[in-house]
Amino acid sequence: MRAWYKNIDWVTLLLWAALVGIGLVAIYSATHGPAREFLLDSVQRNFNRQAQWFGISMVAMTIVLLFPARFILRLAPLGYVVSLGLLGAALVFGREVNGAKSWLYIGPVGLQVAEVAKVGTVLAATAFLSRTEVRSATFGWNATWIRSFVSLCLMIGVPAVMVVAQNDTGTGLVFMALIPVMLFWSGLVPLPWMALGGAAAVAVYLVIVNPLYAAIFVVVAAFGMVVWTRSRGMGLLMLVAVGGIAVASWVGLNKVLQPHQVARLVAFDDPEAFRATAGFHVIQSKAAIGSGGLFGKGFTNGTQTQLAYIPENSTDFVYTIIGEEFGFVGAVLVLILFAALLIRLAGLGVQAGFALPRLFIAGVTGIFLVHILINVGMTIGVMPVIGIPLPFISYGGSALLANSAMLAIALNLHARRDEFAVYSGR
Amino acid sequence: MTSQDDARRRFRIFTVLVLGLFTLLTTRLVQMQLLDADQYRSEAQGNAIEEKVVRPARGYVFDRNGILLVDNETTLSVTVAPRYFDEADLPLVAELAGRPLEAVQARYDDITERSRYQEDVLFENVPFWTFARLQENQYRLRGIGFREDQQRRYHTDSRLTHALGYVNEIDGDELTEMEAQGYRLGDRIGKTGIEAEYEPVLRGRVGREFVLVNVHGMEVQPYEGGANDVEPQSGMALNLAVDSKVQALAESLFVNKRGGAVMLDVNTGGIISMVSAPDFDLDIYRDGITTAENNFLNNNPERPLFNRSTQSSTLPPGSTWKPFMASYALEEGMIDEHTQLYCPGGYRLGRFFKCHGGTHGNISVRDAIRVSCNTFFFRLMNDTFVNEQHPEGIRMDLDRWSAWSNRFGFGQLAPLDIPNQNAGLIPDSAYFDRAFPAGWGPGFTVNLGIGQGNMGASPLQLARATAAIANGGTLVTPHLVMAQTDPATGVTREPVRPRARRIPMEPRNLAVVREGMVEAVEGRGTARRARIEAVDGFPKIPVAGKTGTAQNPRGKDHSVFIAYAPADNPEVAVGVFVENIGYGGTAAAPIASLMIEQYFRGRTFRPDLVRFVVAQRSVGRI
Repeated sequence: MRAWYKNIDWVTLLLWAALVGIGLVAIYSATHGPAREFLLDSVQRNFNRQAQWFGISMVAMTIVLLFPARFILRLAPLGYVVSLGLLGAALVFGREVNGAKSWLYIGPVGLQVAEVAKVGTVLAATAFLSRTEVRSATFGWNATWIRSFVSLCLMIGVPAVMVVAQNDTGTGLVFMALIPVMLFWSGLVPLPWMALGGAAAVAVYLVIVNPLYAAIFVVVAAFGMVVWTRSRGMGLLMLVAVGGIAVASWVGLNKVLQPHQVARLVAFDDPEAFRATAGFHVIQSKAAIGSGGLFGKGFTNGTQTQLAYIPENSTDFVYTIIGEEFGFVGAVLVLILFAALLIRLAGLGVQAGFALPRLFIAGVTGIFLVHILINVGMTIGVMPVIGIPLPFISYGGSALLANSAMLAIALNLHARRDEFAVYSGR
Repeated sequence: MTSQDDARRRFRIFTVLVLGLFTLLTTRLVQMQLLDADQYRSEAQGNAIEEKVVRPARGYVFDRNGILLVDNETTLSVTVAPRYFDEADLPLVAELAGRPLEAVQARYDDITERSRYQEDVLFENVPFWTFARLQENQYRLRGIGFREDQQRRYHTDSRLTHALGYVNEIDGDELTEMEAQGYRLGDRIGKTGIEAEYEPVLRGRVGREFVLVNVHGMEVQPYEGGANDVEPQSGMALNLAVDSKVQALAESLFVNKRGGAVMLDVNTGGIISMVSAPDFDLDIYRDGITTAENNFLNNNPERPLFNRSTQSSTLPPGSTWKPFMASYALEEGMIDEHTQLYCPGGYRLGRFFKCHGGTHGNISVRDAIRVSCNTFFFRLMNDTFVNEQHPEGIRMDLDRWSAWSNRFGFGQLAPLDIPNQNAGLIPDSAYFDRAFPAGWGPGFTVNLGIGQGNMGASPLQLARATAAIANGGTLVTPHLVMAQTDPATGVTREPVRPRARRIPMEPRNLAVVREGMVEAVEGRGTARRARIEAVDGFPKIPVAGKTGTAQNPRGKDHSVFIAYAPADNPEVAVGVFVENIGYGGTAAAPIASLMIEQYFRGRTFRPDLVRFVVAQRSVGRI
């Protein structure tokens, strides 16, 4: 049995450091390049503060890694309650930033409570799902399974609703995305049913892009389901349920939602039509990334970035800077680092050999994945503009700290995997 | 399936999912950054790079002695970039500028109609306080900017109103026509005179600057360090043939008079002076002409915008015609220098045309010019010129007369480097057929012999034809601009002009006419008032000239005079026309004489004569 600290996965830490480093470079360009003179002083300080948060995160990760895994798990219920408390406090006492009442100030230090709540929620959901009675629940119409399923949905859904109530819809969506992620890794729902849900999401996306694609997709997916499960019933279900969802979303999009809401949703697909309003960010962001070409325009040389055509370019649109100034090479490098981090992390979870570390890491990678897909997707015009940051790269102290802490907990659980043997089943 | 195997399976699915989704994102990046990069690049450049037109300094104008006539002064213009400007701010802008909102709105609509992306001039040439007030508020007026412009500044006492012409804001039609040459709304452009004719030369080459513009429309820095910029090239300096001192004197002599004068270099055709009275000060366009001023210029009955030196085409030249008439007759061989025609004190053709100065008896052509004998020239026109044997004789002779007049440049537009010129009137038989459908005869044409009746000539034409007599038969090409000089290199070159025309005449015949004209001034002739005697170490300047009185049935006669000097070696020729002031010797001859004296001596020594001319008036007020 090796000492726990020899089990710490340095590859993950290196990937983490590389991503935060790239983030600092991009934030430096956004705040200390020629664009500086158009920025508020508070925005110009983003680079220095992010560097400070980098240090704070390192300290926090060290502390997290020093605690025994058991201690962290004991904290799970408390962490969850504290998370809900913070979310509630933000709703009451919070300060409004960019229209979202999601900041809680303790003296001069602002805390984006939703980021903290993410950690607590993942931890609590993990602890819940790793309980023996939940893990032994068989899929179907029985009390145990229904209780387990509903409990999980509530555990995640309650903080998600509170975040949405803060008017931070994007982060709320990330919470909601945690439900299918946890269901997938816990095995509570069999894979064909997961596939059904995934197909529904893709179908809704395709309805926005082109309803014809959605129709073709539903038919193909139903056929694939029949081939995979050898069950005509599942195929029919795919056709009816997913097709129904697609039709419902089309009706919702065209008949129910207000035009300005639709505009925001579909602007990514046809930004020119919304040039003056919702499409502006997308057009400018795409122009920036596209004009970066293979090698980019060079550090602090991006015209779109430095001439302030990219809004929020040290936070939500930070990927635009990388795409413009470091080109295809830089943009793809970031994607490779992210893919490596996600796969490495998930692999660590599986390697740990126990449900709890695996489920926690699954939750963490799920959150990261959703952030990356939505954030990168919106800068290149394949996802709606939803204001959520790119993990480790976007400016934001709370998010960096929370994401780093989650990473540290994951590494901790992996490093101390042998301690689980004494009290937890595989 | 054990739980661990199940987890491994899910891990594989997760890995495939992540790689698949990231591949989709990468595919999108390939499409954007590698395949469509050019398109996005041009979009990003269109965003950030603004092309600015840099106006060069308009060319200066100098007189023949290198005296600066016109240069530029800097003015401030307020510009607006519609794509950044919020139209709701227009009332505030109008208020700060102290201008009526309707006018500002109209101007703004003009600008946006042309282009929403082009920055254009909202107010040109604003007073400093307007600039200051707008600049103070610039922070809340997005899209409002400032630009330095230029306007003309005039330096000497000579106005040269019609020769120089004026520069004013480009109008809609001109803009549509010239937008391709880089003209923009609010630019100034030469409208008349050499400012118009030499517009491309004076304007220089427009420069281009590429600047990076941020999302707020603020300029940040030169694009690529200015590597793509095109330097503006200053306009060419123009060196006029004009002597600004002669011009100033002539203009002052024309005070309270209506008329025109042109002085030419008989050898080159350079216009030493060009006067049209009443004229106006070009400074009226400085800081923008007001509507009231513009209305005044356009509606004043004295027509100050009308260039009488080149455009007055209906005034007959009177007796100044006689040297030309004599030239035709001599060259046609109808008379020679010894031929004597009898003057009984008048000429009878239906009625009696009286000859002034009494009975001249037998008189030769030289003396006929000297004493301005009407009978002699009536007879040239009707007794000798007409081929009475031929039934169509009168028609043939009138056409021959007309052809000779054209050879001397009458009845034709001269090649000239300013616009606005009239051809004048030299009738031929076809003209008379139109004018008198009931028929016409010798009684209709006889007046043409003494420069009266249905004919007209401008001072420019008179000066040019006089120059031809003086220089031995070369019809010069009149021009204001002698040369254009590149201010950067100092290289001077002469503009390309039509070549001078040769009048087919025997030199001896012209010499006879010249002798007559010299006698008219220096002998016992009608133009003695034009003499310039020796004074204070300046030798006498022999002058040759001819007076004329254009009869005016509706008022006082017009005073006309042609001259060249020095008579023995001609350098300059003058044609002067003063309307409604009386006999040719009274106003026109002294004006011509003083102009010649000023040209050769650099000053005049005859204050009494100046006073005498200035005191005469033919215009109520202007």
